[in-house]
Amino acid sequence: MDKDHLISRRSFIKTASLIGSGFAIGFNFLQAKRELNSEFSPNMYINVLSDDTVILSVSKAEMGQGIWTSLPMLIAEEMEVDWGKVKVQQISKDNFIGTGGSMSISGYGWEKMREAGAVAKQVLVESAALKWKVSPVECVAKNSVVYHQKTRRSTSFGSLVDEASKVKIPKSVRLKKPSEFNLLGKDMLRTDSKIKVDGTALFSMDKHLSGMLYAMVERPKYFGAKYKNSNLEEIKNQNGIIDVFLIPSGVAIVGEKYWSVVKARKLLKVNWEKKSNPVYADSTIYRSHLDKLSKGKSSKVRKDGSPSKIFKNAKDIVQAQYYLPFQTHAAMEPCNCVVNVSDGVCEIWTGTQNPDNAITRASKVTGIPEKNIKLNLTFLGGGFGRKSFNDWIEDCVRISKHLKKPIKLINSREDDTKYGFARPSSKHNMSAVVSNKSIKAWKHVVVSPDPLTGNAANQYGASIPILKWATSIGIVKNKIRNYLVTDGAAHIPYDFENVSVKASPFETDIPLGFWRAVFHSQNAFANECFIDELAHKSDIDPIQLRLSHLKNNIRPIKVIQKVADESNWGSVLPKDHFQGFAYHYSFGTHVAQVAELSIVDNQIKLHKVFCSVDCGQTVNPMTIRAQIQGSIIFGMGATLNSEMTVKNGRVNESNFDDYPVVRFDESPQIKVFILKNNEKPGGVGEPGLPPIAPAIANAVFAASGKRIRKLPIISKDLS
Amino acid sequence: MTQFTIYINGENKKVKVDEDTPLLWVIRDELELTGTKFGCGKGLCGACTIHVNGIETRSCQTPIDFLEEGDEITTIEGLSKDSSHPVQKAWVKHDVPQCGYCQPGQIMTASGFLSRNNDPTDEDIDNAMRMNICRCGTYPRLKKAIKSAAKEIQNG
Repeated sequence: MDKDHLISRRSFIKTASLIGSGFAIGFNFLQAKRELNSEFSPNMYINVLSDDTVILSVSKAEMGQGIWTSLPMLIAEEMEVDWGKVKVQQISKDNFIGTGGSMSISGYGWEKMREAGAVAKQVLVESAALKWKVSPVECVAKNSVVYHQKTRRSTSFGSLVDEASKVKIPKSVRLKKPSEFNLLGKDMLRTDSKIKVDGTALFSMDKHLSGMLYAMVERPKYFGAKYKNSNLEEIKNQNGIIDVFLIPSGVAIVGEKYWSVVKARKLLKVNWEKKSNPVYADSTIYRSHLDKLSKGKSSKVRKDGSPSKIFKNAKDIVQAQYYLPFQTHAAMEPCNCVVNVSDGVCEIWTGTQNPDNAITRASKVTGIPEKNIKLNLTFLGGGFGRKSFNDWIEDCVRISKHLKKPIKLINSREDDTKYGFARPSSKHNMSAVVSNKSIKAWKHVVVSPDPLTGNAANQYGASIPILKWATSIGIVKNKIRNYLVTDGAAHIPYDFENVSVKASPFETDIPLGFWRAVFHSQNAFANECFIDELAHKSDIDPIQLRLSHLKNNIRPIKVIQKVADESNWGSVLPKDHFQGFAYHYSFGTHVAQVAELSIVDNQIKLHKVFCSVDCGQTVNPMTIRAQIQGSIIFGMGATLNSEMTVKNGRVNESNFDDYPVVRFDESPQIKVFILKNNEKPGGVGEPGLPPIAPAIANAVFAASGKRIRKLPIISKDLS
Repeated sequence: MTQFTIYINGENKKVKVDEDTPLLWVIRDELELTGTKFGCGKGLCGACTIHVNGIETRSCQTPIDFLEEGDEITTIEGLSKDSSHPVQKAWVKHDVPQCGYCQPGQIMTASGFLSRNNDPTDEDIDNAMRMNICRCGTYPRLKKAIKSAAKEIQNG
């Protein structure tokens, strides 16, 4: 790759068009079209070709959430493009904040993409007006055509590309009102389905470079352990092995074929020097530390009214403690990438949620300026937060730099399970005072490490200099971590008059990270199981108790009532079926769920989940339903099946046999009801997850009378 | 290393690999047919499913020297021309894929199973599909798409 290619955007797209067979249908087709066409490109997201093809570029990573469909829909709506003429391509620019936090629409695309589309439409309309020598206000655009009704003239977008390239880009544009939407809020089939059913969709593991070698990394057996010695010289002599050498994260094994590396790695014997004072790097020790901290002092995060006074004077205080385990992400695609470091340039192919951070780190490792590092963002075979951390990319950059060869690094499933960035295991101390069927005081103490300021800060924070700086100042660091661990606890939407939410964060050697829905997954479990306990103790219907504390808050009330109606809450159910309810607000979206299950021989069978969602104005309800269903299934696994445990600084679990996830036959029937309104869009990638664990736990109580205060639910808890 | 000739997607292909190399890596790295995916390496997730003589097979658990003369391999790339297999069509129609990584394996499992049973009960479908994991949770749409593909296969 010559250096000029690194700078020019046009050439960048040209290079991107060649990145392997995966994008053959998308990119090579687009490239062929571009070569035959002149084009108009008002911004980096839109290219109109003279044959009327409109290429829309997606800067967010497509990891299953449907962003290849919804971001282009936002542009197309305002631009008045004929959807049938749209082709989609991936770009990796403009992704500074990464892909995560359920924000690709709500915090990014909703305004930016619509504005980009509106600008393009405005310019095309003005070009037509110029051509016809009429006023642009007399022209309208629809389905990729500009019309001048007075003179009954019309011309397609493609015919305007030369004129449009000369028209000044407007500084401000008018965006459509929701009542004018043609596309938004309608079910649209995904734009990436075809390449995902014929095997041509490009994931980074599918990238092939000539002369490419394969690598794996044997990482320390125990968290924080240091390399002492090994038989690496012997491994170097194994068939097909090119080199074995140390990198900061472990021992790199490189071979001509992946299978040679797998076989040689089995013979590698490394002696690791265990860290002398491991920090809570064992589930049992960690758990006792959670217990210890939960009895000690904690920091105030939210205080409303006089909770201490109410608790002090109360005759009866209800208390419960909840405990959640570590969870790993277990995305179907283990972390992998292809990196080629040579002659002062570095090119990376990977699926990452955080491409800018990968470039920064590659630059740091190689000394190559960032402008000479090119990252080709491929599809992600699932992200769920794991692919924000980029550790595997840094490893591969080091290996490629060392050998001056293109390298494909592939984590084994076992590597991925043992060396991820887990959801923190947390403990929640809840107390409340209830009188006259109303919650008078509510207290929630969250005990948990936070994933951002601890170990992961070095991994993730590298791309957010302000955060790195902020977390180096003690007071700010404490504020950030207290805020993080109580996300979903401090912002509980019920209108309790006396509230106290406190945090007790700590550090551990266990690498922690963001797991789908982040702290909402833990805090919603504690909130929604506890309020269910309070309802039963006070002999109030659990839904009624919640509604009584949501006065004047119309959106959650409607969401809750919808799911209650649809699930026939409170009426007669099939024999041995029981229901549990939960509601939670996260990432700008209200979600209420009813789980319906039965228990036979201490085994839970989840039959149905009813779920109502208010995520404001919808973009593509088809992918919203898919995300909500997927979140329920993902969260259900963490409630019933899986748990990551650590013994002596080492993760016990390794593959899908000992970290079981939800399978086809366990998947419940899921009914999703999307409430329609024109509120600002909320996120949808995560909000479907938090309510499922408490909805299941509350249904288990209905079925068995047993309160579930620890996840995952094991059959012993039911007997 | 040993030279092998394998019959894959209607063509004979020569490869030179260690004889214990799983078919998965032969297909992906030697033949550059990358639709078949690596998920677990232990036959637990189904992402690597291919057909050997029409039967769903975990390519990560099948060393190349297990093949016998005359064995026919089909991968996702060889399942149909232009995604025209009823299963692929149903997948698009029902908007099944999310991240898409497990889908070639799901499609190979479903198409293999439906070729022997084109009128499956829910239980048949559960049994056929339970060894293929999807972490995005596409199961509800997978189920719909399988039923719709079965109908199309029945109608010829």
